[in-house]
Amino acid sequence: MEDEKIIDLYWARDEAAIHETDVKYHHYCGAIALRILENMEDAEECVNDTWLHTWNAVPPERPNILSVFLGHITRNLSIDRYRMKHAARRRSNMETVDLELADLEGRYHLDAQIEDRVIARAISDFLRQTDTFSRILFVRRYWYLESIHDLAERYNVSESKVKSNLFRTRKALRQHLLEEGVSIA
Amino acid sequence: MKHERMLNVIGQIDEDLVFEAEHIVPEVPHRRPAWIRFAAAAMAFAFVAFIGLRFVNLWSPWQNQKKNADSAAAVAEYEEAVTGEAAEEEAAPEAAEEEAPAEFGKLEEAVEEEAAEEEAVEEKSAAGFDEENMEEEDLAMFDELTLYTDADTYVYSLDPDWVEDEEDKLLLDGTGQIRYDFVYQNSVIEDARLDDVQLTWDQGIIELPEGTKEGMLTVTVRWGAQPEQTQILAIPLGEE
Repeated sequence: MEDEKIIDLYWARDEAAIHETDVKYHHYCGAIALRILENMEDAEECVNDTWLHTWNAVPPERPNILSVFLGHITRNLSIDRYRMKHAARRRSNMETVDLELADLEGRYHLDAQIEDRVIARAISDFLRQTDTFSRILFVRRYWYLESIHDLAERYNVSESKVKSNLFRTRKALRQHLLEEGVSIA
Repeated sequence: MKHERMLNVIGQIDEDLVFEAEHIVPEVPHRRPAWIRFAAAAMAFAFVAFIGLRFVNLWSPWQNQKKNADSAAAVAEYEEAVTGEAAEEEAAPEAAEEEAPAEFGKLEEAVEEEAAEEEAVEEKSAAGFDEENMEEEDLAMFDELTLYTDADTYVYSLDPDWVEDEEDKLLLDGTGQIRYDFVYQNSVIEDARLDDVQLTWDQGIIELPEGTKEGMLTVTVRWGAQPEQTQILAIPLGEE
């Protein structure tokens, strides 16, 4: 079923919307959750929670791209669940992502009124200026939270190439955020 | 800003970017194939090695080709050079005299260089037969052994076709020594005997047994690596 029709079902408050969403996007959302949680049961729960959250959010929202809308919810739910479960730290894909993003940590003092959305807009602008490969690599790594190994396999390149590309992109992003007026702490 | 927050912020980037990452396969900037990189590296290494070897003068293929050229051609070239020089000297003696003062400095330098080279060659010759450094031109030439005493000097050609006058004796001077020299300096004495008595030789001097007044000196000379580049000379000795 097309995304528009599924969204119409949500707006019509037809429970078939959840079934159609599950048929079409279970694998997609499940993969996102599994990458973060690295646990099948937790991932399944997150996916089911995603359908519930979507049922509650639509309407009033009307997603432009349903897959991304669902993925975003799954991602947030999975990250929250991960952080709750991992009070005792251990090295995992999520933790590695956190460490990589520590490049940007503590370097900016953000005023309370600067919304995350504004920063997200700056990051989006930056990503549009980068080449396609770097952009997609960045999004797949930090939005979809795909592992370095999986990215290397997906694009048939070495892991070191993926790492170096991400490093350069993060470095350029840091510079971009500074130029955008985010003051250094 | 906590990196956890940054993770959340990245979660809010524009949807089209997320959609693109999911649905578009980017063109990966691949490196050149491994075999091209390997070939390029091999060529670079060969070039550097070649330059290095040329720098230390260890390998020069074109010179090897030159060395392998017909020895007769080398001889002809040498003779032509010698006759050409002689003709030039005969044709313009006056001009040469006029140029002499101007050229004197250069000539002096050339003579000094030549002397230095001769000295180096003598050292080599004294050290033994230097086969590796022997030029093809030298191998092509038949060397000449000069034996001399205060009483006599005799030049023995090492050309096997040369017929020596057996009656012509080398006259001794009573010092018990015969001095020897080779034209091309690449020849060496391999053996020397007076009749059946083994002699010693070194630094251009053959030592004779005390009181030698006559006898048949047999000298084995080598001027190249090939078997035919050895010759045994029988030299009758006598007194005035």
